[in-house]
Amino acid sequence: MLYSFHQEGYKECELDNFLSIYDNDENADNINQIATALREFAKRGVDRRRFRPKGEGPVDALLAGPGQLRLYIIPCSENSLIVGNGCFKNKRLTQEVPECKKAWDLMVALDKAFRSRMQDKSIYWQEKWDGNLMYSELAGDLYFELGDC
Amino acid sequence: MATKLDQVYDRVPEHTKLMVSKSFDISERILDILDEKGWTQKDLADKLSKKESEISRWMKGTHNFTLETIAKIEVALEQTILDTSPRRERNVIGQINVVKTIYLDPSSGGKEINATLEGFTQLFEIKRKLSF
Amino acid sequence: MKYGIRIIGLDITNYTVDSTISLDNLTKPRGTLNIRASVNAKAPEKELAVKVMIQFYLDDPQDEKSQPMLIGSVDTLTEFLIDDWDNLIKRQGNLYLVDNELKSELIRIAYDSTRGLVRQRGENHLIGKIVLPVFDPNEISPASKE
Repeated sequence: MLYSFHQEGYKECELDNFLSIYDNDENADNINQIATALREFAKRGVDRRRFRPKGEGPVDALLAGPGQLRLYIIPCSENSLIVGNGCFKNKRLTQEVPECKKAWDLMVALDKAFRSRMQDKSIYWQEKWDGNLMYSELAGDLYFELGDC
Repeated sequence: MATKLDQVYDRVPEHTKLMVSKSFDISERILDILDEKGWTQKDLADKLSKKESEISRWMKGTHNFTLETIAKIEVALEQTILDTSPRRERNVIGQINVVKTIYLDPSSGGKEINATLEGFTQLFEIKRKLSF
Repeated sequence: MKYGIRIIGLDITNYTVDSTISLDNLTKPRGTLNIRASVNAKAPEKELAVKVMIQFYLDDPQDEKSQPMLIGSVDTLTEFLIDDWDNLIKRQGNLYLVDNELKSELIRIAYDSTRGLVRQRGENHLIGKIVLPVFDPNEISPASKE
């Protein structure tokens, strides 16, 4: 299952905003690959081995194409990804590209708040049955105040 | 209502869908072999004289593996990743295991009986017939 | 979940499908599942393993009187580490006494995991087109001798 989040004052959620910015003729192939990869994760589940080894932090990125368009993601269960915004990282460090820094910092802040709420159980997984499939859905307090990101 | 992602996905060419699906298959196969060997992604990176971050990127499912890269990985792992040998006609997919049928008499109060799994003792068994 | 249970392994140990049968023409396949689930213990390691075995029988929609046909079988093994072993599993001589609620919980988790595995693994096979129904493990009585 894919989750994105909606910042107050913004017209769209982060994933839609990413698509609005980067889905154009120039980047169509990259966007196609990223969209298909998101579908594959939704279909196959989230294999943790694909993501950063322990200690490097949970925020990761899906990359496509030689220009390295990237979409930031947080694997949050065996079946779920939180999808944020993205950027072209055309410098060595994330912090050197303002769009990347903004998207990255927001994901790091969200991840921290999310994990803290999972621990105190104000966010939890709720089992649901849609008539065909049993699946887990996030429930609880999903409104975050993350300060100046 | 179709989301923006649905709209993008709907226009993705079939060959791109197949490419990404195969990239997932290849990276999954590499991860399985690494697990079998007890290797980390860093071990593979060292064997290939690559950075660990590059191997990590390959595992995300969007990497367009070249045949040369696959061949190098196969040499490093000493295992086949892509098998293009002709498919044989087969009627059965997978392996048939003959499962020994053991019934537990409920009146025995859970008496210890033959283990069905090596090293394990069977405690309890249920049977159920369901319709689909 | 009130028990300290951790899943430490989840594998398909058998996946057999008769590939000569196609479900393409069946809009809604009908049939029966024979499900067996056993709970097994490895005391020194404080591990419990649940083996789920499912046989798939397909009805012939053209001929309701015909015998259902075995079209495949799937076995899975889910291994658990039990935190509070000494309180939950008592041994009396050759007998293991396991809390009934724990047994049901383990079978429920193993069966739900099997449903997911079958769906994923069977994506390109006929078995994947069959949606495994849910059931309440508490309704199941132990297997009896046949």
